[in-house]
Amino acid sequence: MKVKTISRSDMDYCRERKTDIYKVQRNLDPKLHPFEKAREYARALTSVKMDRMFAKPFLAALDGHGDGVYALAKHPTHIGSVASGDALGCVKVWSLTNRDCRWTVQAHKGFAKGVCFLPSLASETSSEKFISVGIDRMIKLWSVGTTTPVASFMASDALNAVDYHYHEPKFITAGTDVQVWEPERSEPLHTLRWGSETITALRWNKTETSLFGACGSDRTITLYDLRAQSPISKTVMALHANAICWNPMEALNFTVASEDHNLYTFDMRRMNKAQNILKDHVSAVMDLDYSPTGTEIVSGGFDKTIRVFEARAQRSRDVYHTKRMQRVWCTRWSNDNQYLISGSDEGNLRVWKAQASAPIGITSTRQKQAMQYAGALKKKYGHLDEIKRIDKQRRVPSMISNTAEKKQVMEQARKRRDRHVVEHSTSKAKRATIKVVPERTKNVLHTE
Amino acid sequence: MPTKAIKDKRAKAKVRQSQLQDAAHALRAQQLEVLMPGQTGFLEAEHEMEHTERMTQQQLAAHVDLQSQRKIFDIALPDFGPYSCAYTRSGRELLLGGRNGHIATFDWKAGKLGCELQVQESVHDVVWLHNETLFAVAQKKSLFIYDNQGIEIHCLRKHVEPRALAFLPYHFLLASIGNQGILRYQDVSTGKLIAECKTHYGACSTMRQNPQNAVLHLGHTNGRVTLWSPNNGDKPLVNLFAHTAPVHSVDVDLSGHYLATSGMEGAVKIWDLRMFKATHTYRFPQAVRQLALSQTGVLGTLQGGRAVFYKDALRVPDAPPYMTHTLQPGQAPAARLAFCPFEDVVGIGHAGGFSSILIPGAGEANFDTLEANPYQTVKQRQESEVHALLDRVPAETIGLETDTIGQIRQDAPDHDGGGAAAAAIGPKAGSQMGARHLKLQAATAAAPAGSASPAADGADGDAPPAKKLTKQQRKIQNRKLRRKMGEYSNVMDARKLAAKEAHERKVEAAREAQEAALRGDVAGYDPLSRFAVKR
Repeated sequence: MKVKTISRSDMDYCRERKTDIYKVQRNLDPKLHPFEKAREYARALTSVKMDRMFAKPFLAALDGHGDGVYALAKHPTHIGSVASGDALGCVKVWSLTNRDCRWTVQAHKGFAKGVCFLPSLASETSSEKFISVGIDRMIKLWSVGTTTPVASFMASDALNAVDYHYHEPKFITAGTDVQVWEPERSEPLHTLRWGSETITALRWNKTETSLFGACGSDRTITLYDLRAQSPISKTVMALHANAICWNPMEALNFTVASEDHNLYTFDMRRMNKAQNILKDHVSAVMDLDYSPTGTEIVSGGFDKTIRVFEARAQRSRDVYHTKRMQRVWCTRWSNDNQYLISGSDEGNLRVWKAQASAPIGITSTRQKQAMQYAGALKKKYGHLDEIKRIDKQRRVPSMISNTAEKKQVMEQARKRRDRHVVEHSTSKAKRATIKVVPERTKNVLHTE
Repeated sequence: MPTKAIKDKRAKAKVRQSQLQDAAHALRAQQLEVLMPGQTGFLEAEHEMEHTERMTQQQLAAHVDLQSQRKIFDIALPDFGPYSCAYTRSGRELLLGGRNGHIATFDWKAGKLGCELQVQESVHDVVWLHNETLFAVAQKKSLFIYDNQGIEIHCLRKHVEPRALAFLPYHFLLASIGNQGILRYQDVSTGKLIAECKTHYGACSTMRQNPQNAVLHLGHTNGRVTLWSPNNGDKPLVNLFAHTAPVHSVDVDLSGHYLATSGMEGAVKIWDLRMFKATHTYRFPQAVRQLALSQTGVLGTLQGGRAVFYKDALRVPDAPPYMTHTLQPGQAPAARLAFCPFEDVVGIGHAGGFSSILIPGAGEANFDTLEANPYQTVKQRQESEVHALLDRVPAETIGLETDTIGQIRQDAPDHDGGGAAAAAIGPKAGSQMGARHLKLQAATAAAPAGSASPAADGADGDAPPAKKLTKQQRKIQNRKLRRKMGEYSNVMDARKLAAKEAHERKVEAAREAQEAALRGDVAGYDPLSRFAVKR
């Protein structure tokens, strides 16, 4: 007779001492795991509920500005450093770790419209330098800690924005034209313009570092190449674009925040059509910023909310608001991908978590694994009604929900009307005249 | 599922991605099998003169290791029998309930007595709850729950005269059936009695669950086997005419595909639950009082004073006995047979106490630590209890179909655009997924009432009632119909235009061909061809 029976040695299945981890043996035979899907679904439901329960994104409000915050800059290398400028011309440097103002100066007469840090590789904060521009035509180079500017230049007209080059000692300013400066020279290196307009916003490309984009007050988006020292393309939108930001990972893609409540993502090689339209704001969008991985976007606007979008999605994944936050002028995504910073009309900077329910501080490996597993489950079952409903549910001020509803009704009515026009025009000739313009091209009036 | 037919690019990509993911998981599971240390046991004859079924436990003990030898033992309890017995899901603890009121729990491998109590009334069935800290006992008048120290935790008086118990571990439901013939489901996590199903078939003492879909199988004295869920009212999901005499015992195998039933007329039938057909029948001179199916599909039967085991009974008709075990004179009659999970061990509760014997190849060799762990520590048990409660599957989902979450709902309202109306199913709709079994019932009802063929109860055999449409839906339907009839002739859409143009082209082509023919400039055209017989 040949005999074999199951006979297990305890040594193989029990840990030797208390400090060891438990031995885990898996058998993935589906027979041993009944109701696998139902149990996974229950877990997904729990985790999505927990997410909403722990969604407390607001971290801190930094007060001190006497008027609305119009300019905001994050330090390229120090995560805790942020500079801001307000409507009274006051510029402040903040420490986010201590949640206080490190340094303040009355920099300009009238609005301080733009601030940007110089990328200093030295780590000590004493060498931190930044530039501020204002509508008093002044460009001032500051060293944090000293009350007089290191250098100050006079531009030809009021300045709206400034941005520093990624690795070269150059910066650009936006006035009636775009000017390229060096910190050592009091005269601009180049002056670039295309048509007559006032430039309201501009931003360097972080990857293709000689490119930058600018938004003009005559509804244009103009792209410039510093190697050719000339503008390369110009696109006219239906409504004015308030801000521009390049995707830090996809060199040729950028997004603009438009006055028509939407954000438009473009591929600079195909400017005749928006790559994506991100909707959900119910009023003009004033500023946006990409997350350092280029997968998400934060935007803030006149509807007094901050919205977080996945860059490829059409709708926002989250919305942040507080009772006291007024219209948001500027938003930034911190370089560690953890925090959002916003500056608003009532003069406060606010710090938010990028993931509303993520824990702050050190997380254990087990916690991380549990979070990853919950994330995977939410992805797997996220399309089911119940989970989708809980995940999407947000309480927003009634003004916003009412306006959104109204906008939706209007949009549907417009679509219905268009459909009816097509359906009820019997003659061929008449039908030929009707063109259905996709929304992604509708708002792009023409490109040059 | 081929993705070629899916038109929506995004849906297609999603389906394809999930298919790839499934394939990757399957491959990974296959690769992980190498890591599984255990091998299923076996007992094989080496030449024709040897017969495995003649091997006694003493002979077997000589062939196996010391640890396995210890698994063969008898507990002599002659005063309170016959005993019913139950193992925990991990197979670690054993629960014995003597008919005359003696209850005991053991860590049977270590030979440690857990608790022991005398209830001083009849005990009919015992069952462990979700882990080894709680167990339920069907006593004379009502159902009792005790903890592992033998302290009475609950007395469930609503379960009147229970005779058979079942615990659904993923739903935390304790079910009982008894002399009243009413199946009662008690949620042990909330304490609520969630369903009472009147079977109308009188007293019943045979109940087993399908481990894959938590449907309860009852064997009745009128020869029927009925399948129950708490969501179907007083109607069984399926009503099988299984035997011509009272049903003694039923059991479902681990895969949930096979059902074994035994009747008083001496037949044991193996059913394929996917078709509700008896695949084969065994006939014995003596009725099989008890049967049980092991994790690997070994069929164990109690025939009088003998326990007979069949290895391939589920798949092969007329499978020869694999092993037999004869009870000693003082032990008969045997009352209960229970396979120990993850071990090659069978427990037999009988009038003389309890016997544990070895049946090589009966148990699954590899357990899953995260599912049922025989080596669980107290800390792990506490944690798994919390997780099990959090992951509890709602009772509303119990039905014949289990894999409904995330599937396309067949009865989803058809949107105006026509095409594939797809609505993913959440768990609440799960219990309504009865379409398949309704169809099946209709088919079985139509079949001639044969001896072995399953037949639906008259009431259940009715076709599903016609779906009642709302006013809005009727309106839409009427609109569609009117459109088809041409009422909206002034409404032009792309489809209509295309059809119109195609028609015009056809007419034009025909006209041109005719003209060309009249002109006679078609090569090889024979004017007489128009009179040719068309084939």
